Amino acid sequence: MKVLETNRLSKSYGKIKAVTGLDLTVEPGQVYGILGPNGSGKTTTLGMIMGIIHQDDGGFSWFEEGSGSRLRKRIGTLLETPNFYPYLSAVKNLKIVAHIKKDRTSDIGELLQLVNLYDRKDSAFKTYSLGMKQRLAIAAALIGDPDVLIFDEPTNGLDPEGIKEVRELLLKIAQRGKTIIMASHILDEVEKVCTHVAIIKKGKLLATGSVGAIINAKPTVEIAAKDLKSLEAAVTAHAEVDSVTVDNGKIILTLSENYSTGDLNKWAYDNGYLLTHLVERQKSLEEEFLEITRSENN
Amino acid sequence: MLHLLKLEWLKLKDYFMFRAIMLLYFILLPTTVLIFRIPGDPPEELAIPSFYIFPHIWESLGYAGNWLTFFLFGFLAILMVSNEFSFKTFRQNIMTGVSRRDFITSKILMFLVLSAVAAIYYFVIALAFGYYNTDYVKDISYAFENAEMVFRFFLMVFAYMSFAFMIVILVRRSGFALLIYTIYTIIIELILRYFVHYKLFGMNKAFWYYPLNSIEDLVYPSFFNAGNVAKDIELALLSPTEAIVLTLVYTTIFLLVPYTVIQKRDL
Repeated sequence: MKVLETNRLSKSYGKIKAVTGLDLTVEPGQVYGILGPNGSGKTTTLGMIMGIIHQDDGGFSWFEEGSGSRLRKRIGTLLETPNFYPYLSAVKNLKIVAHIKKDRTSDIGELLQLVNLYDRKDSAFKTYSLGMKQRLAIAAALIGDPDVLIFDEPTNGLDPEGIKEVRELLLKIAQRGKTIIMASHILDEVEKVCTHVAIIKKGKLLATGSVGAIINAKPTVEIAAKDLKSLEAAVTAHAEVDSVTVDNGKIILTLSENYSTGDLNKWAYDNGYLLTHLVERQKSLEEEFLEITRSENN
Repeated sequence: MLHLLKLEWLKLKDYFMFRAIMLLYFILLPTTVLIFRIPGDPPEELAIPSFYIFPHIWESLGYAGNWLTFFLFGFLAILMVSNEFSFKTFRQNIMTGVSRRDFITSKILMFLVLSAVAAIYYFVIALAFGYYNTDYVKDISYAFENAEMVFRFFLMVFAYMSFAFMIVILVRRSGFALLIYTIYTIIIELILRYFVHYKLFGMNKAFWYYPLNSIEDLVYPSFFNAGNVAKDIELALLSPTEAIVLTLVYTTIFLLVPYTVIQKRDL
């Protein structure tokens, strides 16, 4: 069963195309990151699949059953800001959510303990700090034990401690086997939390796949030696080396499939080069992201 | 249906303005009618004590309630909806699993309940005033002669709330909605009637068929009519049946407009 499938989903605001022909597929158990710069159509996409924005074209289907309020009851959502009745306490706000979801089994006290708000459960929502509001929204999303959770920029506006808390909470939720769909413009966050990622820009899907596949699996290797010129000429001629660039007194290269960094070190020693510097680096999602979005511009 | 009503109740019961407005209504309805006691204020030819005896009490208390509910219940309807926009709880409710139709329905159901509460309270207070002030009731049917006004009172409150509902759904902001609601009723409609309609068509029957005038005439003391009808024809009132039919038509429109708008709008 697919959790979510969108089919050529499109939305424009006047002349601005917010989302164009978006095809996404989310499978059960994935932590699916929708990654893109601000204004790339992430929130519009989530708004459409959550029934608050009407799409101009295309469609989507939840749990292969279509759309509608009945299916939305099986999804916990935190979109943009935490939205609650400011004059009501945490408990009373969560009771409203439980009432809407027709859920009588969720233990509100336990959920408030999970998000570390139990001590303030009877204070009015308006007295909460931003971090507390965000955590309450996560508790609200968990009511009714939904199969799917949607988070839009869950760490936005939080201080470092709040960010850490929310991320740990997300990982804790993901470990329970929930499907999570998360929009973010922070690569580091997606890299740390998600299993799958879709990269969108200006409402278009640029790349999608597992985080491992999107992050180029091939590491880059940095080397240096006393005689840099001679080393450069040697590695350029080396059959197992794919690309060579010189940067700031270091040679940066990638190796062919079955040739390891250790093999390179041995080769250098055998050929009389004593390496003064040897580092293997995994290309970060950040670099990959910049590369993907840049190539789209060209 | 009870599920939707309970949802609305959970939102309302701890809301300060809801409590304040209801309390104000409960206090002001019996006290406002007492202003008739101020000597010299009402026309001399109307015997003052007669305001409080059966069956006149239904009309005089109804008239006080007419003004009171226009402001209190109209404003409450606006706040009940504008809050959902400003707290962004409307969109959150939808995402959580309320359909747009259910959202509208839950509001309308609560308007019905609140209108019923207002009307029942009016019934109780009218009965109490009448009982206290009427020395002799020749038979019980005399006391209840105008009691069908309770139904008209209920319809009036519901119509005011529906009108307020349409405005707040269209403009979304509470301040703006309160302003339009009040200004339309006490200024704009009068300008439309007296300056536009009168100039264009003269004083034909439709002159009285404007929406707020129709609602207002549901509960209006007939002695006002009797006292003035000879002098000022334009102050004449609609018959109860006319007022009921017109109000039902207008209320349907007041509720259909928000329903259509909410279905189409992005939140």
